[in-house]
Amino acid sequence: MKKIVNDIINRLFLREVQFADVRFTSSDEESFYFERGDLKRYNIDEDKNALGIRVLVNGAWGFAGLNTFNKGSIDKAIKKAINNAKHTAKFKRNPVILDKLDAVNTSFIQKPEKDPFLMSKKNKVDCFSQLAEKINNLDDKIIYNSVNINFSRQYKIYANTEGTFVDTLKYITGPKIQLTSSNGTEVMRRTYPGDMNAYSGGFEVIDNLNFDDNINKIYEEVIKLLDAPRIKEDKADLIIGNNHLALQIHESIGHATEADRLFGKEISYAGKTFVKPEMIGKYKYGSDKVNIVCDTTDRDGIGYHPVDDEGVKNKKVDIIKNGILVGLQTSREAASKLGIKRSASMLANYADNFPLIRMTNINLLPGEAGTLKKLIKNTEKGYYINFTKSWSIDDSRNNFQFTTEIGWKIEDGEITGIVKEPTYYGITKDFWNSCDAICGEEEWEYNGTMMCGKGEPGQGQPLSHKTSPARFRNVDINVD
Amino acid sequence: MEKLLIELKKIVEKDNLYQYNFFLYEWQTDFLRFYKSQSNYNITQKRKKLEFTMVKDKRKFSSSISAPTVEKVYEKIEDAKKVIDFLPKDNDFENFEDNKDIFEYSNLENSIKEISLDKKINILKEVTKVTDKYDFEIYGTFISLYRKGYFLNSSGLEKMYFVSPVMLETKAVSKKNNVSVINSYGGNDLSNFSLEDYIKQLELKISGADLDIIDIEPGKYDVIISPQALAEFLSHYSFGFYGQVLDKGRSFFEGKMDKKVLPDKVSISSTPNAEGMITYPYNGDGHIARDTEFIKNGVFKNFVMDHYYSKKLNMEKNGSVGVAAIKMEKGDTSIEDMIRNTERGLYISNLHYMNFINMKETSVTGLTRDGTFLIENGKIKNVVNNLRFTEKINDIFKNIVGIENKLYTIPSSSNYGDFSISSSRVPHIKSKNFNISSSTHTI
Repeated sequence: MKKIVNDIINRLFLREVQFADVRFTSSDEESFYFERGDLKRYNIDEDKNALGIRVLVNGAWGFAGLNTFNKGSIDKAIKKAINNAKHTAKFKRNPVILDKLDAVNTSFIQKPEKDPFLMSKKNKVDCFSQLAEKINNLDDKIIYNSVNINFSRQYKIYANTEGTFVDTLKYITGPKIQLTSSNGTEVMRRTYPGDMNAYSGGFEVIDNLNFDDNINKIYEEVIKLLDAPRIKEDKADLIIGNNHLALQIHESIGHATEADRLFGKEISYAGKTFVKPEMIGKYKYGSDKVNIVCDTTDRDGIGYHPVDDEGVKNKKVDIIKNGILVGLQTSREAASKLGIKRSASMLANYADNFPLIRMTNINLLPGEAGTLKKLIKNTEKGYYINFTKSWSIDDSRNNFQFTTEIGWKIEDGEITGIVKEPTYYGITKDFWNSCDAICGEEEWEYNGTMMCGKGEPGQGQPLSHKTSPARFRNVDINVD
Repeated sequence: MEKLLIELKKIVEKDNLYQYNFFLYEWQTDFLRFYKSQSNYNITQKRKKLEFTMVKDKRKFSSSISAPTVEKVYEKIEDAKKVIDFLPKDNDFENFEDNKDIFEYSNLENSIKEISLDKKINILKEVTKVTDKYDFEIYGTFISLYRKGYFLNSSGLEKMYFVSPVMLETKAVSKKNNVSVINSYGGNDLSNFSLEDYIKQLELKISGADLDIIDIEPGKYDVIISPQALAEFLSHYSFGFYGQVLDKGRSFFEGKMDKKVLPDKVSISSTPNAEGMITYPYNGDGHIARDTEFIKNGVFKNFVMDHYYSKKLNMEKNGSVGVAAIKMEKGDTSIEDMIRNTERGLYISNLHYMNFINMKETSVTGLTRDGTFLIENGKIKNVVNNLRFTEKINDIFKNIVGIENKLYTIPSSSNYGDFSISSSRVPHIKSKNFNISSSTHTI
């Protein structure tokens, strides 16, 4: 394929083409889904190949994506991409201008400790069948249980007319178990490791999550939740655990700081942002404890890459520093329009999709509050909440409301009971400014998703967030 | 494609040790996305895929093949044979879909061939001429899709379908104060599209968006819900209609068959063959798409029952395409009267990021978008900042006090990985005591 990609790039050195890039992806995906102990779906989607050709002609983008490759289809795709760009230019007010970048030539091949695609299929089926059997028949009150395991790997070639040529191979594993309980009137659920369940790596991800111990834990919790009280107060201090905090960052900082939203490019679907260009360098997004980085250099996160999908070399960029908004996630075009650092954030999930500004590793840096245990000890009254159940945020990423599966009541630094479906809401700036403590490096861990939706046609992009649990003061928790 | 189909038929007919279900499809889209009254990008995407499931003695294995060839299919089937014997059984599986009814096509064009990029751009330029006058900019998508598929299986299914819908969705956003309004067209082709009407509708909405923007207090409000917003509420409500959701213990309608759940005036159905709907010939299994009444005069009547869940739950299958063709029956009042008879209330144009808090209870939270208006003394008085609501959808319909005497086609595009365009036929409704839980303080 390297030769084919090179050949296409060579054919795109045309006078009318200002810039062009070509991507090829070959993806393998394997998934297991057990419901009430039965294997309902075992699916393998191998050699899912895709090719994308993007050209800048007359200051406008054109694109063609395909999954059937032969000389004829590639010829047509090249013509189609150029023709699309010419038509884009007919209805264009501001031409796209790209700064020239130095070429990058490198390769990254991830080697997981246990490559799930090299393991015996029988061993995998046996292993997950045992897990499914274990969570089945736990109790009559468990009305539904499931085991969902996804493995994926993607080989990608990226090349452009500036001379960049990079290939990568990356692995992601996403396991989740769910228990649903009912007492006839109410239905509660507990999941493990939660909705943010994607991690960089292979089968070792499953080993490290220690499902055996955690099954018993969530089983006890999902039964107790049926009789647990709901939060009664209007406001409370909240400590948010890592799995849900990843989503809080994702929705209220991650999406809000995607530069394409500032220019209205996502208004028609995903929405806009309350962030304005003039806020960069001044806006007090959070308390001085809050530091957020976009880090595509960290190989432990799903969002690592040597270059993004328009040839920008990986880097670590500050988005929020000591509470002040200092940067954004950008494309080349957006960074140069705004006069800020490029963040290497342009990605497409498969090569036959158009690249967009996407979250990569959007991380909250650890603080000085020590372990989660210590932070709870230092909290007089409040709730520790975790594991997302429901999420919603407005199209400016300003007003959010989240519900978690479970909360733990804190009184005088001790956990004194659980609460069901804790729900809180807030305004992004007020909420992040109420953050007064973040746990330390000992609690700092990645949680991610295989499927963050954005764009039209829609793309589900894998990404991750590294966080330590954090405390927020005086949060609104009454939605009635 | 033909050569591959012949081989698939051979496999189904000759390899009797296994049961097979093949779904072969290809689609192409021309997708024009625009922002700030100019093109963002033009995309052409083309995909071909074969999904197959192999079964032996209730053991199931499935696989997807991108850009399938005869060689690849045989290779993957041999791989599947090596796997299937050690898989645990799915005790609920009996066999594949066996409905043999064939959909009869009327005239359908290939929208990609019918609507050139020049034609799309000319339409958008005409729309822009008008929005420029009001200092609004347009954002949205203009999609043409051509999709062809084949169902083939060991239960004797052998069907082909094609669809080629079109969808144009335009948001007009004020450059002055960011107030937005939305208008959309969806159909099997452009034959029902009138550029003049489309522009007139958009212009009418824009003219109402020039009012002062205010914030309102959280609380209970009478609300008039637009067809666009109603389609989304119905789409979430419809989750509870599905056999799969019933089986998981999460359906609001569990134990409510033939019971009164909503007022007499509310009837909800799935009607893929109704006038104005985008054609949906078959459900996902290949069963011919049939009309299904879910709620008839307030009484719950049916679940969406596909082949698998009909066997598992011992209920009759009905070929319903559910949410892909949802319809609420029209009522007897006009939108003008609904507004005129509202002392103090809200008009909700569109929704954003609605999600279940508890599906079994139909409780959701979400936000308003693209024009929320305050109505006072029978008149639209102000634009209101986007609002958050926290409500049970069943309560919204239970509290209906008016249903418009007219239906609108609302298209909806699902384009994550696979690609389809479906539609709803819905009126405006008026509901009382709608819970606004907070304001976003922004437009």
